[in-house]
Amino acid sequence: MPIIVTLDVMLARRKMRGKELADIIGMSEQNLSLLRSGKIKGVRFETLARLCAALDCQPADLLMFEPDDDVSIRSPSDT
Amino acid sequence: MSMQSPDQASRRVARVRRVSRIMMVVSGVLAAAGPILLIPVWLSFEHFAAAMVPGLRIDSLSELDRAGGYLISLLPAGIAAWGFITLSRLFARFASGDTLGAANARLLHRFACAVLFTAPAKWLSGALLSVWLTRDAAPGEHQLILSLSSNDIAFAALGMLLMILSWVMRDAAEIADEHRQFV
Repeated sequence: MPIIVTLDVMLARRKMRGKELADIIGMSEQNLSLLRSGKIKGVRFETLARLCAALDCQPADLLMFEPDDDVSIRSPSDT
Repeated sequence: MSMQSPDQASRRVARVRRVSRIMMVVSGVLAAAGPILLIPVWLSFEHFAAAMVPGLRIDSLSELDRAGGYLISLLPAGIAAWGFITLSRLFARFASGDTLGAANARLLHRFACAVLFTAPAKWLSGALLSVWLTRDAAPGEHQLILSLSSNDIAFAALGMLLMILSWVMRDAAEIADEHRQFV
């Protein structure tokens, strides 16, 4: 998956533990763990907003895009 | 599109679980009842002959006739019993709160197959019964009765409807599984 979840980095910067964050945003520790390990298919905007509010950051601080062969896009000349 | 409140949703789930528990028991009883109820039917088959094999002319039946007839009748009854066992398992899963699991679609598909196969099984069973019960009749009085009723067609249509619903349910289960992977 080319989208990398950088939540761990942000947690370290804010010196916050995962359990504390899970309590603040009202998410189970199990789901937060899945999110941190990137073993999910997507994040709801609502969850992202809560994460940003709790960590005082922007969505871009939590997600990163690393291109790989899994993602194919059409070039402008194809359209 | 109107969204249900959490309270409404939990009431709906509770209702599904309550009704499913009842239907699980009813389906289990029906699965066992079919083959068992056929025993008294065959012990006094003369009263039920017209309903079971329309057009069949019989005078008296031997014990062997009744035993063989019972076994032949088990063909559609067995398929129906298998269908009800499957349905009971499906309702058990609904009752436990698992409404959109992939296994549910498989169970509904099996029940649809049972409903769909019951119609030709009844048709075949009727034909076999007519041959079996008139096998000792005088030459020229042997019978082969092939009957197709509107009930058989309705069963087949219902089976097809359930089959399509099981395909839709499989798609829904896949969507629900993907939805679970969103946080």
